Amino acid sequence: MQNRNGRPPQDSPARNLLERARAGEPDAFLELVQPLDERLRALAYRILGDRACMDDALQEAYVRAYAGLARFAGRSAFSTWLYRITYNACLDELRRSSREEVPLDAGELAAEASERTLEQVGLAQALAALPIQLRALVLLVDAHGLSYREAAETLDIPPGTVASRLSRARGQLRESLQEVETP
Amino acid sequence: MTASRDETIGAALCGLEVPEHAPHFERKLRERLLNERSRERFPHRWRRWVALTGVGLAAAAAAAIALLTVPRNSEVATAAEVRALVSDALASARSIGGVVEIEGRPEEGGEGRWSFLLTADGDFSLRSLTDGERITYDAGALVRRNSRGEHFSIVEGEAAGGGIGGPDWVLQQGLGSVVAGIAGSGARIEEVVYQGRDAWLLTISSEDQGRERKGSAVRRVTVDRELGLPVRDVLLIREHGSERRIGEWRLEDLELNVPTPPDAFSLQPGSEQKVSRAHLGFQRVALPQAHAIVDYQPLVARWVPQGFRLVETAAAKGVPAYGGERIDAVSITYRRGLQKIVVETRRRAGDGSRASGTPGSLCSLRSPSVMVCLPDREQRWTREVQIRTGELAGRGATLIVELSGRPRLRASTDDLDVAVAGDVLPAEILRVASSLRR
Repeated sequence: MQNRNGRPPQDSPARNLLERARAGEPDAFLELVQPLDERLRALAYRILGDRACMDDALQEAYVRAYAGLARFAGRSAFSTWLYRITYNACLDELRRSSREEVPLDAGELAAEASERTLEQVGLAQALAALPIQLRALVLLVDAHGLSYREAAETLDIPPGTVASRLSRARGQLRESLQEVETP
Repeated sequence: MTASRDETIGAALCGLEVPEHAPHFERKLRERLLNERSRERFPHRWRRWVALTGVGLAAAAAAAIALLTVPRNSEVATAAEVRALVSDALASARSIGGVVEIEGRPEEGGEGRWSFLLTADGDFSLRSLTDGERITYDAGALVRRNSRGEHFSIVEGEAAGGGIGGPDWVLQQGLGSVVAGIAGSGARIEEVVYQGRDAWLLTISSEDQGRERKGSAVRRVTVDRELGLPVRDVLLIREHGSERRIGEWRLEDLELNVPTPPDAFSLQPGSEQKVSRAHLGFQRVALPQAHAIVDYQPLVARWVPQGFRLVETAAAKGVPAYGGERIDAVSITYRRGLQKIVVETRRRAGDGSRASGTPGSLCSLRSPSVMVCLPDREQRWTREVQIRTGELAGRGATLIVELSGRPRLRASTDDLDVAVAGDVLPAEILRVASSLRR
């Protein structure tokens, strides 16, 4: 859907979708966001810690994006723009529910539990123990493949600080990957 | 600036599972988008008119291609979607009534047909449609009453627990265990018609889940699509090319949110009946009072899945456990509709050391930590895990999941044995255990 710089090429189906969504077609908008939904769910879920809050935040994010499409000028990739709206919606959800950051005793909350999932409980716990911004950062870059610039734009942090923050987050996660104990 | 991905961490993070949206997410989002569009297009004074005609717009939108979730008739639901529906149905119910028929599994008791009523407070009543036996449990008073022929028994001090040894195990364990039972990989789903109603048939095999056991266990759960509730649950063993049914229960004439008659859970003896009494030792108390009874601070969950709330604390001093020793125990119950999570702590009575008997065993068979030692209970897997946070930080724990039972976790501190069990996913049990604090 997007070319290498993250923008739909002229006259592409994606560009047509964007224009139709801007014109107010809900179906076009839904088709536009659908390929990103799984990653946005992952981001929201890892920040908020449970499915209901994840859904609430994504409902809000999608509605904001739909309402703000007219203002999307294409200076960044559509995906980056949507990531940022989603991240901010998650922060608002946390404030709205008067919750602190997902507490340090947070553990894994898999959609489907399996032995394989439980092997990664340590990783999920370590991820949940990171401050929200670091958590989001390592997800965006290492799991979702965003560039440092795109991640900085999503999280509204100086691009020059991405590398050091990422290094800190990765260090803590690597420890947990080594410490996951299996007989 | 060049982004340098950490491929190892990236792969591990991508392996973490993420829940699907709730079943009604897409419908709700479409409605909001349509409302947003009407808000933008029409001045305020026209909005009411638009809202009235919005039904037509919504209908047109609903006819469009579904993109996000909720399978249409031509798509079979995934295990995650069915699990979410069952969990939502159980979580939102205030009570459930109907008829339960139990076959096989004599070790767990209760074979036959029973009419039943179960509330979200944990009260239940059962009446045998075969011989008239009646059983009631008053959760507020922790009292079980049983009337059978000329015998009437009153058992007091029974905390919320596993519900084995009687027909109520279907109500207290069987229904809720479906949530964890159909999680995980390998569940096969078919659309079927059961008792004239649309349903899903889920087949879960211990083989699919990579468990090495003698013989392979298979669980077949039928879920009513409209109610979102399990209505049939069959457990089989495959051995030597054939299948042998271990047990089955079926629900009929289900009704949700049934009005509860007064005194529905306080059965009274007839004048001709011989009354026997027993006391299992638990008394219902406010949480802060538990310490005074058992002389230690019990462990309390600081995290439970959304919607659960603490509804019962029961404490017992010096109750007999298996192995002959006496223990001081606290049982804390969290409920969400018809679902529950129980956290138990116990310590040897008298000298305050850890109990030396079978971990998690209590005289009361209702304890969620009691391992039901049935001959074919090998359809379970255990996982040794490390708790990283909370009172159990740095401790090893054993997570036990049975093909047909609810998951449970056992761990110990220097002076306490701890058990957590509930109608949720194994990973959620682990998270509850990771949040325990004094």
